[in-house]
Amino acid sequence: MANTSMQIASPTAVWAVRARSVLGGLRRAPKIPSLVLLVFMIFAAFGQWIAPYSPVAVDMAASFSPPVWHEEGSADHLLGTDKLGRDILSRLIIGARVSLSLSLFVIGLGGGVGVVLGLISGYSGGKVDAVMQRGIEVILAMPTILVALVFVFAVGRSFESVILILSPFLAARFARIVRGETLSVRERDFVAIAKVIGTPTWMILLKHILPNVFNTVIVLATLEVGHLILLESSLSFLGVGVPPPQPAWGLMVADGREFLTSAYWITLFPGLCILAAVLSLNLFGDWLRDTLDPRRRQL
Amino acid sequence: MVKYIGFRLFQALLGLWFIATLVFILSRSIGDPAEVFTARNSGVDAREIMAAKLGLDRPVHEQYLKFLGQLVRLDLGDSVSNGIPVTQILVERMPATFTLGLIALIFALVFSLPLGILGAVYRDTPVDWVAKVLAFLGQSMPPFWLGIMLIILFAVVWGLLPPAGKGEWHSYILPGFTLGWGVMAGMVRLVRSSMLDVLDSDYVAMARAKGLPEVVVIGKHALRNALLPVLTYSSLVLGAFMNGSVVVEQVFAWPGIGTSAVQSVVRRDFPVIQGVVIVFGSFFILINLFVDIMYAVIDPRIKYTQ
Repeated sequence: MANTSMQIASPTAVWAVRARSVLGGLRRAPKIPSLVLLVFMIFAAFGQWIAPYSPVAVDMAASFSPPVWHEEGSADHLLGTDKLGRDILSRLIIGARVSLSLSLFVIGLGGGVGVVLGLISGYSGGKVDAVMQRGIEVILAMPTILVALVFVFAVGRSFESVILILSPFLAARFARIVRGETLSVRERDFVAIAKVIGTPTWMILLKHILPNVFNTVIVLATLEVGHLILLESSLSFLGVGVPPPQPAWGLMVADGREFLTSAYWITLFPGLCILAAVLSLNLFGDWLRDTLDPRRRQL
Repeated sequence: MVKYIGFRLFQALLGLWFIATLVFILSRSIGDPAEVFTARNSGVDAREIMAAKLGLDRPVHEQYLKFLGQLVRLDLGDSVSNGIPVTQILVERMPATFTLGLIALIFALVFSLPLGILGAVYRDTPVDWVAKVLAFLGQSMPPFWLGIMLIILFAVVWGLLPPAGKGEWHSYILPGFTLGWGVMAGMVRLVRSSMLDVLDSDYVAMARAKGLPEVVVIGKHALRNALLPVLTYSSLVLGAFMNGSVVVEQVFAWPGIGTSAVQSVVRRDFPVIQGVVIVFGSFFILINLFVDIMYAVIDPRIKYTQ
């Protein structure tokens, strides 16, 4: 029986086995970080049905209500309201979507391009590799926040412009690491054999090299989502992120700065959300790296 | 190695040129450059003067060469909001940014060295856990929020430290700590892991076998070798501080280059933004160049194929 299953092991079957082992392994994932991430993902996906109010509903009569545990607080607004009387809890829930979706877009776009570039760069070697590596080094040597500041100044403040400017930085990081992995996989026997029997290069990259660098890509993606949430919130805080009235967490922190002495809750909670999300992603990513990719301690 | 240094120099110049070109392209593509380089409500006259000054009637490649020529002479134009030369603004604001970076580095070293060393020596004890928790928190906490929370606690609630601005020595504590916090996390991890590597080595075993007291083994034999990567990292960190200073200076209304960058974006003062990007970018590249060359000098084992 075992023999037959060996014989029919097609690439799809390999992926299926891998998927099953990932699901099995997830049961050993760190509990609290996984739970936090799950909650944020549910907020991001179904926020508009969970949030008690619209995140942009202005209610001047209820402005600056403190959280429920204060004497003047009420159960109407569990975490209080901001200067326009908007419900903080609702804004946090909807804000999860801004942070997570923006980071996922950047991971998809920048990470995708980075993986492709890294595969090509590492596999082809020679001049192509040298030119690509120099380009990557130039990008990595630029101060991200400042470049983003100028770019958004130039093209205008929008969800898309933040994605566009953060993607190249992410692509460079992915490309550098994927290239390194590709360099070693390239030398393995199964690649040489595939080459000998005349497999086209794109097929070798897709079927033989990509699956072998995939673990690294997954770990890197997890850790980079956290990094991106920090970057996005910094840009929002500086006023060049996603434009209002969309409730981005970084923007909410900036909104509360004027009222530090009177209404600390406007700044406290969005920051805690960023901290919880990024911390969970880092802990989860660390666990993932130890499980999938124990060689790569430096990531 | 001379070849390698020459190559790195060339690469750094390439990076500088790339940043300058990027800025040039941006300045010409946002809209009418004469409009971009003048204040928002200035009249037709001001725009025409600026158009003549920028040579907008000339072909683009001539404008570009003129722009590069001015850069080489460190002429970055004048601010459109107050007419002061951009170079002068940057030179005036530079010391505040650099002092802040230096203080942040000191904070980071003071906290991370003992924690990292103790974490490695007393592995899997409460000290190690504290080091790990701090390293994770440092990586995950948004610096602008940390700064604001510190202001609430130390300035608003306890009234111990000034909430913002640059004044007496104690006004440096909160911004310095905030800027150094994220870097400290990276350093704790680095010190801890490189200390663990060294503690495993033969010469540490040898030192112990000789019967040297543990303090000497750790302090003299292990620590010295574990510190090399930390030194490299410290110089790279100066680059990270430039990125961080944009945010942290904004939180503490610190009169440095980062604040002027953000203010110029708000005022749409393009010459100043352009100047900040070029200065920060150049600095970033020069630090990387310096670190790579130091590396080549210090560690001859590394082979450079380029």
